[in-house]
Amino acid sequence: MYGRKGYQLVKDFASGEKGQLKPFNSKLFDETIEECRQNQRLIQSLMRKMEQEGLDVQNNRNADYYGALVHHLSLIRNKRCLMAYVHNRADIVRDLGWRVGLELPPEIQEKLTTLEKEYFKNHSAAIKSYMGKAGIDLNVDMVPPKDPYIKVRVVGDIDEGIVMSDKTTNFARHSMHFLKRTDAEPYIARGQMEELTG
Amino acid sequence: MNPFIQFRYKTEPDVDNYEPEWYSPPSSSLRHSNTPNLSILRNRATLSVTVSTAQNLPLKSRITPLPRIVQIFKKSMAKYFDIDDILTEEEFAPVLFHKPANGVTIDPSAETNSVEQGAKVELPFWLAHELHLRQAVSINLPACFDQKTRLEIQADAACVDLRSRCPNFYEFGCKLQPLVTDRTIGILLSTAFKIRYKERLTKVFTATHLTASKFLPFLTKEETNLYEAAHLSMTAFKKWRTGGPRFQRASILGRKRKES
Repeated sequence: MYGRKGYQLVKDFASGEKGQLKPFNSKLFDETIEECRQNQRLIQSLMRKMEQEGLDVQNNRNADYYGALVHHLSLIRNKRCLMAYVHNRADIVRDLGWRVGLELPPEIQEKLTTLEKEYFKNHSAAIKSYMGKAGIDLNVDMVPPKDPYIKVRVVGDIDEGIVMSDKTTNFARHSMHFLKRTDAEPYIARGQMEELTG
Repeated sequence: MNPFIQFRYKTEPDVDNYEPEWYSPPSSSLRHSNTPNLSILRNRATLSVTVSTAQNLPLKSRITPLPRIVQIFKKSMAKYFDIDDILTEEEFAPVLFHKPANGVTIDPSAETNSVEQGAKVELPFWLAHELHLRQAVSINLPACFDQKTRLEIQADAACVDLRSRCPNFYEFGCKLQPLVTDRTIGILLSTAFKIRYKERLTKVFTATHLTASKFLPFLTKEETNLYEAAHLSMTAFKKWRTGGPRFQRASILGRKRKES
């Protein structure tokens, strides 16, 4: 009661490691909404009580009014916590498109709710169509490379039969390749390859 | 000698009298008080990272300064979604009820579901603040600003464990300052911050990250943000000087798992 659940929800979001996404806490989320409902029921019962006593609900400042006020403020507070939770997660979800790429790896997928997945899908569709119209891939490194090719090592599991822009290669784990930077970038961002220097 | 350190000290030779622009309260409502406006502290921290990392990060992850109108908006309304702001407002403050209230169980000593007039209760700041605006309660100083803490800060501010008292010590203090009768909070905050800031600044450039972990638990949330910003810019500078892989796994995916 009195904004506790909302606080716990926000705390849950903040307790994660910085820059990391936690699974959507739907249990706490629903409990917060339930707390809001309780607040609303109590406000209504207090208001009814004032009406039955024949008092003017708008202008009267008695004990019932302040009781209702406390519940009202708690409800508003819980609403703020819910909104902040969803808003901050949406920020991260939008950011994913730029950092990880327009297709999400499964370990991130399972942390999102259906709605967030939908949101990400629509957002990446918007980015894709924009980049299609502008005729440029905005997701690549902005600094002009000295060499269009880089040396990479495969560290994750990559499905076979991926056609790179110039050749088909078998990306077995630990194998080393000399690839176009633009081809390699999304795999590096997803942690499936690493850049070799020197 | 690291050239970066020399650079820092050359531009800020007198750390004692060094006054960053955010020490003077720019907001007109606060001009009469002694409260330093710490609300832009966090933005500052991000900016300082930008300066030194801008060279070796892809353009898309650089932070460009926001347009003026957005900055104004951010100060007033965008705090609504701010996680730290929400957590700060959850800190408890003791209040004195001037009006009775029915149907609420916030007074643990009351026998019924109500609060009597004159009851002394601990309420979270967001509730106390709104009730204060409606003249239903008056707010007293919470424990983290008591005499004991003040004396400790006077003795040596740099060594006081502020986090255990209140994780958002400065922000909370700034929020409380206009609402309580005690007018000395502003001075307390700014002196404590000045001394501690100087200490952290020298530590971050001299101590390694490992030895730094000894004093990290004493820092408040705001100080930790500043510390991390400074640390990040140091690592970015070192990386820029020595070179290294340009592309990296996105940090959001977490640390690399051990290969099975």
